[in-house]
Amino acid sequence: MMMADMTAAGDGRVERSRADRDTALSDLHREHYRSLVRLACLLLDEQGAGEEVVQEAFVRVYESWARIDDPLAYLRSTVMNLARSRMRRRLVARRRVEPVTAAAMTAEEHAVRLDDRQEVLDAMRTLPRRQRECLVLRYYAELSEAEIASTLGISNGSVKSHSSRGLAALARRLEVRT
Amino acid sequence: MKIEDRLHDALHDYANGIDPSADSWAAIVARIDEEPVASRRPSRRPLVLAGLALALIVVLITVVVVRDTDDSTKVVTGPSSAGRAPTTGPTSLPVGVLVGHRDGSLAVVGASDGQQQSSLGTFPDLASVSTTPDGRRVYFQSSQSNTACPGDVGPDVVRLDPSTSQTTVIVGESVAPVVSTDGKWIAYGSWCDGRTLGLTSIGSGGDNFRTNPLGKSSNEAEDRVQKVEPLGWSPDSTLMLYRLQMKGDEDPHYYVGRLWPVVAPSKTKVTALPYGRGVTAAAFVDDETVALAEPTATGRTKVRTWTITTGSEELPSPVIFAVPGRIVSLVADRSGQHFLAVTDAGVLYRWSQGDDQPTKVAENVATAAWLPWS
Repeated sequence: MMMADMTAAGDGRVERSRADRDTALSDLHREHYRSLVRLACLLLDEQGAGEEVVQEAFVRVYESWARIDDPLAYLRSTVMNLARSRMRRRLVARRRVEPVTAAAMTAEEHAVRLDDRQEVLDAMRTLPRRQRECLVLRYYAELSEAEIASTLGISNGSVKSHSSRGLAALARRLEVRT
Repeated sequence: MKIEDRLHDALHDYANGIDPSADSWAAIVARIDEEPVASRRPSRRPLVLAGLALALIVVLITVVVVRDTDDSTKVVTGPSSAGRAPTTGPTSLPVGVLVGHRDGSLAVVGASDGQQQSSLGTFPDLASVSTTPDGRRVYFQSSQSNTACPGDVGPDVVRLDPSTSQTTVIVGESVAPVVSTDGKWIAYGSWCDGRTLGLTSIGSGGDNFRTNPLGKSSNEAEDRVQKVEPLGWSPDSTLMLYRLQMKGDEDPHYYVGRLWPVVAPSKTKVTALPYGRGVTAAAFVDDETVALAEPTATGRTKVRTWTITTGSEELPSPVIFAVPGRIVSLVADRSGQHFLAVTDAGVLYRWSQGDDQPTKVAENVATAAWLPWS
């Protein structure tokens, strides 16, 4: 058992499981750090805070390694939880993230696209928290309903209703603004 | 383009602009090394005890001193880095407060001492009292009968002339009248003839208008509106602040609108206020700033200011004041320096820029307004 391995002093397996953990974490970091930071930034609108939240999530996964079945799912849930409490505190000053310029577009197309993007993001940020989280996990992280449900600790039905209500509200708000 | 696709593109475009720092793994490892597990998570019991002790201290502090504990700034004395605070010099306290009590009695009380100066009568289901700037006409919501609205069962907007005690129903089946700062308009939420924002001109013959609270050209959106409640006017009387309840959406939404017929149809503009979900009341501070009341987890309500023009890109100001309970109605005087807040427990507080904490004015209050405004 993993837990026994972790606590059995003098057992060669302890070292091995620590090494496994470090390797697994470093792999997870390499593959998912950027996308998790982006996920956090979509909820927080601030890169510095997004990075802090994801780093803290990695530290927590490290600490809880022995009892985690699915480290990526745990990371994702932790990022959502930390982003949520960070949002609640709203203590940090925001650093705006500058958009990348897409080379293929003309300046005009680009401006229109940025306007639309900003408008959609602004509207999304006024949605209730659950709706916002469901939409980001669905349309950015591209998770399935079941994955969203386990990430947020809610039922599949709730994911469905939050998502559809969120989309409807978003459409309504965008209509209002135009 | 479908809304799903727009959202997908917006999220990915934004995310692609974020380039996390390369040395993050080193930062994580450093944090793990710096903070060994044992010291980060000692054991649950001391943590729970400490939590309880902290909660007790917080509750005691909250009970003894009504002020905000999250933000050290109690009084905004100048422009903050976030929501803009009023910057004009101090103005004197308005002379009186028009107070509508829960039993329907309407009275004028002294602003500083809370003593009743005169009684203006009793009106069934009195709510949302508002006065003209000269204080010569008072408008409020009350359930009258025999109005022109077919099947009238709900509240009406009533005008009172305090000098003669004469009342007139100006529109049936309508709520929350608010007189504009210049005294030319009354805005109210109407469902006499569909859910709309109603406007009546005070100066020019009392014409009634219906306007779309979601702005021009959105009849379909209008159908989804369940309830419209005007909350206030900007000092320049061009912007209205109001709350909309939409069908199938439990959260109210707060908007600032420049609406016809106050402005030309081409100048109509509606802005949704961000962070509107937890907000229970709102008021104009100046032409660009609103104050928003948001309940806290500890059962109090904080009031912050918010700059309209910059919208969601800006953080709210520090808390300007906080009261126990949930604020159900918030009004500022014309200078934006003196506030009245009515809580769900029926307590009326006043707070002025520079005050250390709010002062309790009266109890059993349903609605209140400054008298006169300037």
